[in-house]
Amino acid sequence: MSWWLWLFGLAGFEAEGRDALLRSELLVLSESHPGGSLTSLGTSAGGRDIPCVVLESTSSAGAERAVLLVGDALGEGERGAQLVLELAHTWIQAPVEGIDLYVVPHLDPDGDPFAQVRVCANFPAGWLPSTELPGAGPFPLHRPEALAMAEFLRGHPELVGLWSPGHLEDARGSLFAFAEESFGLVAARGDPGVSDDERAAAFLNWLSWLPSLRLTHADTREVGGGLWELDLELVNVGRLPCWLSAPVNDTSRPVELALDGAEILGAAAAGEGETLVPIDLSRDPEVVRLRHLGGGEWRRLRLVVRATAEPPSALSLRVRARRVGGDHLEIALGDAPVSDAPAPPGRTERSSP
Amino acid sequence: MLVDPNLLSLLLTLSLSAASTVGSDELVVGYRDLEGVRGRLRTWVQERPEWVEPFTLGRNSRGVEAPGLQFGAPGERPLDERPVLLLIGGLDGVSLAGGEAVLAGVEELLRGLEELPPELCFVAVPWASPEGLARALSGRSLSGANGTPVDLDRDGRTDEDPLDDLDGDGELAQMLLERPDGAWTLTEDRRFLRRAGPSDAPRYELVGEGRDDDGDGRYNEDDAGGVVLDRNFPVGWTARAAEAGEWPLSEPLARALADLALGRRTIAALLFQGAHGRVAAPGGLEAALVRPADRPLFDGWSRTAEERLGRGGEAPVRLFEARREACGGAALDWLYASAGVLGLEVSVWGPQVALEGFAEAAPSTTAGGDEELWMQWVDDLHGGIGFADWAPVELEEGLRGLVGGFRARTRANPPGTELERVTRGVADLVRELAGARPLLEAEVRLARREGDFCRLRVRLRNAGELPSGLAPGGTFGRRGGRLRLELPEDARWIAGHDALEFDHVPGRGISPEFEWHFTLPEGGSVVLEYEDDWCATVREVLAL
Repeated sequence: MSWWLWLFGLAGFEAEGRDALLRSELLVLSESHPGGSLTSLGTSAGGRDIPCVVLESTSSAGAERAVLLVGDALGEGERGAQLVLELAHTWIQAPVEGIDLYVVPHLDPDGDPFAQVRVCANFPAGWLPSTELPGAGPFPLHRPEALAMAEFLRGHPELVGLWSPGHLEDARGSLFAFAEESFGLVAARGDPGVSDDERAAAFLNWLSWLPSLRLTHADTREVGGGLWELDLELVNVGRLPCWLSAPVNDTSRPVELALDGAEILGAAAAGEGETLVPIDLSRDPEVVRLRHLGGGEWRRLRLVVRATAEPPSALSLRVRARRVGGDHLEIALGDAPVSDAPAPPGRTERSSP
Repeated sequence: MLVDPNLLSLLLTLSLSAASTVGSDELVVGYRDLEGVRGRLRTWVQERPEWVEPFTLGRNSRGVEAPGLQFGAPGERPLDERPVLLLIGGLDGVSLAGGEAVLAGVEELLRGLEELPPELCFVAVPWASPEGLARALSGRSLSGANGTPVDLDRDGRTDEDPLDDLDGDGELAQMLLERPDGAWTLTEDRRFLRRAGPSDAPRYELVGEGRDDDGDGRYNEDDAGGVVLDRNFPVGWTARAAEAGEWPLSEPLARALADLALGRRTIAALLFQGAHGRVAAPGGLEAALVRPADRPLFDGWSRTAEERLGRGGEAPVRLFEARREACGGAALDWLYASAGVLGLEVSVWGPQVALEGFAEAAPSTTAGGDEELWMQWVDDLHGGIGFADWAPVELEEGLRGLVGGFRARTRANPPGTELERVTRGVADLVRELAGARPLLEAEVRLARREGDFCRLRVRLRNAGELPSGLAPGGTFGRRGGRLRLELPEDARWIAGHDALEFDHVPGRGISPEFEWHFTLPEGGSVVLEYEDDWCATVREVLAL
């Protein structure tokens, strides 16, 4: 635990002093990561800054998705701030590639337990008038902190996950419900009662659940007339589906596959044990749009392409989905062995498209 | 910009073929546009500058203003400090007649300004959703949506598949697309639609008139704009309805109305909108919203309102029943549930209103329901204007559609020539509501002095018909009235709280009694101050 965290627990510290200590610690955190920076979500009702540390992925491909850590979304206060900062330090030691991290230790820096409107009950999803939901306020996003967070979520469509320590006693009006319903974030709670190591392991395990696409090459056949048939396999190696945000604001987009070096003439896809079904390319013949993949779902793809180079050379295939990321594959056409199109082992094909 | 409806009627009469060629343009003649509304308000302010003040609900994010005015009878208290009756027109972005009803009511109220209760302020916003209403007036859209770009079909693009005038008749009508799984089929007379059963054919999908502009296989699913302000309020709001806005009160004009209701002592709000012809109480969702304790108040004023508008006889309804569909995010529901306002939706136009006085009018319970009543009005009283028989149109890739049905403006608003009739009684309703205002008065039940020792016991009586506030939380953070006793510096407290809260006092009712003990030199006096959500602060000096 860093020195300021110990100081943080001491009673009697002035708010300004606490803010200054927190800010200095956040600066240290942001400067200890090559892609780190310190920014602000806005200002609290009491006029205090709502700081946010950004830890951007340093992978060469950049990140297409991000995860948000909030210390007090579930009312954990100072303890919650400690926990998310510890996780952020853990992250810096071993960052997960392709994911940006946003760290908000205090969404409610005033932390007034007697406030008439509670930030953690002032979000739109499931909001009820304060007579039915104590602390919900006269209307959702009445508290500037809640409004600042809503605008932050709106401005960061790459966010896919929200993590906060604590117990969700009532989802109505909570940031968790709002982030899930309106922005499709996968929200997870961290158990504040376990050890730091256990919590860090659980957090990293949760990150591994996020959807992630892998594209592999199964077979290539020349079918004559300069045409080639490619068999590919696509799998979502995460446990969560690619359509993370479908319920309301469908910020997810189809899985898209495109290639350089050839023109796509036909495309078909099938799940496990299914017949290949043609995919409509009439809207955009250069992009194959695929149905989303569930967690762990595998799909077989077959493309019929005409090589645009003579003699045919390498193809470059890219698959991606918004807020999921993608994968990349190179296939050397000329060198590929000609095959009689056997179905992948263990999978039957009833008809050929 | 007001077009004289009489002149239009004359022109229509002179043209024998007018009934079949004019289309439904005449439905909007007689209505003011935003500039016309602004001009009328300006004139009223100029005529009575002392007690008629310009008022602005606010501006939307594109800078379009929702103009209004506030007025009241001459009195001691400035208008800004008085309890408020709100008159809101066309918040749904469709009901032009609602805006005209507000204007008609204000005009009549201003004629008798001095007779209004001097304790009250009347705030009128005739065009509360200026962009939606402007679209409705132009015939471009009757969705009620404003100009905020919204991705209605959630495909990452906005406004990419708008309605189109396929048959070139200047109107945007309905369109039927033959689909194997279509939800609708035509009735035997080939005019009405009804839900298709398993054996019905052909089956249709009902959409707005237009092409598949974005080529996604769906028709007109992402029309231009926007957010419907009357769906942008918190109670029952859902992110699942794109037209409800990004979040509750995300639209500046919706937020401004909420701030107005919370910031002033708002007794009642009459929302003039809808084409159901009824006066509806809060409750836009299937589950009841109004607490049982408050139902008699809403039922009573619903009945009174319908009587003043020349209707009546039917059981009171709430929004869900009047509109015949769930409408989460309605302003009326939030005004009641969070701001403690006696709110009613007053629809001056509807099928029964259209057929009023017509001897052969069918009851609304016929199997065809409102559709048949509207058709009866179109056929028998409106020269056939407003409905077009379904006619084929060619669409993309050989797909055929049928364009026709009720013209968009037919049912949303009455013809301009009907405005005077349908808005009659609005001022009477507002006057009656104003006359029922709560009036708190302090009654001294005991004022006894023994030397310097004084005992004072007081209760409050509400001399008005309305309660001094509404129960479901009242104005946010308050659940009742406030009572304070101020002692002079030479006095000394013995018992009792200097500040007390009390439950809202029912109409014609009394509060509990409050007692204080203190010492006060002979000849001294104390100040009693009291207020409630619907009653302005009163300060009285009591000599003891």
